[in-house]
Formats: sequence, C-alpha cells, structure tokens
Amino acid sequence: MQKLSNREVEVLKMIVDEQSSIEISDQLNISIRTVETHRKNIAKKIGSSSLVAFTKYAIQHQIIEIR
Amino acid sequence: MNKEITILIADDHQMFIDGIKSLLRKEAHIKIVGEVANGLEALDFLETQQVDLLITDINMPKMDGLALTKKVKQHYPETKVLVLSMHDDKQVISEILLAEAEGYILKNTGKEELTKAINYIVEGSTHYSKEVLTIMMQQLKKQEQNNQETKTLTERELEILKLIVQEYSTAAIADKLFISPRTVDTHRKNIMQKTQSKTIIGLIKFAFHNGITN
Repeated sequence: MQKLSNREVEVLKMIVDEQSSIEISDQLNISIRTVETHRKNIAKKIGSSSLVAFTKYAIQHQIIEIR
Repeated sequence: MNKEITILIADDHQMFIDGIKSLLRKEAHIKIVGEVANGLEALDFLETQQVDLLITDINMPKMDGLALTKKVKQHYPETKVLVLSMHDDKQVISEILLAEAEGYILKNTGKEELTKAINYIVEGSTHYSKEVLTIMMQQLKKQEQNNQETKTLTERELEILKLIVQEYSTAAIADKLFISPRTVDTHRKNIMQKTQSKTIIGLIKFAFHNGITN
C-alpha cells in the first residue's frame, strides 16, 4: 500500500472528523476540487472509497485517537 | 468563633451585589473585600489580592461566570467559587459543574442557605441548592440509561456491526445473514441509536473503542 502524503493525512483526518469538503477547503485554503482530488488519491492508496475504510485506516494508523 | 472569610463578588447588577452585602452584613466573620462587574475585572482584582471565595453571576459582559470560573480554577486554585444564578438550565449547570465550581445556588435563595453555602465551601466542602441537585440527578439518570442502552446491543446487532466494520454493504449483510435488506436497515438504525452514533464514522469509532472489530 502506497504511503499517504502529509497533505493527504491532513485531509483524511478532517474527513473522519466529519468535516465537509467545503469546510476542508476553507481551512486548508485550497479549492474544493483539490480536496476532491486528495480524497480520490487517498481512496486509491487505501484501496476503498468508503467512509468506513477511511475511518478504519485513520484509527489503525493512529491518525485519529478514539476515546 | 469562625475564621474570617474574604469574598469577592462579581455581578453586573449593583442592586444584586447590594442585596448580598445586606444579607451578609450581620455575619461578622464574612468580609466582602471586592465588588466587580464582570469576569475580566474579577481577574484583575485577583491579580492583586487573593480571596477565600468568589461569588459570581453567570451572565456578565466581557467575560461571563463560566469562563471566569475556569480561569480562577486554573490560576487561583485556592480560591473557591460559588455561582449564584437565575439559570436552572441543565446545560449551564453541567458546564459550571464541569468547570469545578464548589457551589451553585439559585438567586432566589434566602440568607440561611447562602451563609450555609459560604461556610461549607470555605471549609472545603461543596454546596449545591436542591433544584441544582435535582437537575444533576436527572442528568446522571439519563447518562446511566444511555450507558445501559449501549451495553445492550443484541447478539444480532453485534454481528451486524462487525460486518459493517468489515465494509459489508446492506445488501451483502442481508445475503450473508439470510435476512431482508430492510431488516438490516432496521438493525442498523437501532445500532446507531444505541451507540449514540450520528454518522457511520461515529459508529466505526465506537466499534474500535469497544473492541467490536472482528
């Protein structure tokens, strides 16, 4: 599995923090299109575009903490 | 003979401050050393003079009683806080308690309860008025009820949750368990409700947190 870039990790963290593409683009000062591209690349790298897979990846790779 | 108690009062209504002073006038051991109209002024005061007890309102301009309580607990842990408020709102009370105020009484309290609260708190105890205790109890009961519900996912719901974590779709779960997709949806709704998850992301976090992953 290809490693996520720092920017992709940042975007993934925000996705599983339940932020919308608009919120992510606002916060990172990038266009919504760029957010969507990051999202697609993340999906390609982790092998699934489902939110379940995104969340599991983020937990298993300690990108987010669960309490 | 009681030990002297120094008090700072924070309230943006002078009439209210005057009311407290008048109620406490005959209590020889209680000394009101400061009166301020908001949280910022209270912090300025505490920078120059420590007090045993801060009596504060909640709604104040510039810095409210909740923010003030948090600051006082952080910077002046020796100073006890008694919140005196009109609010019997559950949310407000919970937040004040979480901020670790030693007391919370409603403004319609009489002299007897006020002096009792002051003495208890300064001696190291806590004092919450009856109305506040009732609200706290209701909150606790609700929390306990929620905990019970979370604990009681049925075997079938656990089975379905594990499949959701394994990224099975509703149709795939229905196929695997020989039930209709509609039944899967009903289970899914119940699981979301019991685990208090609003989204699928929340549900996955719940599953990992509780070790329901394989």
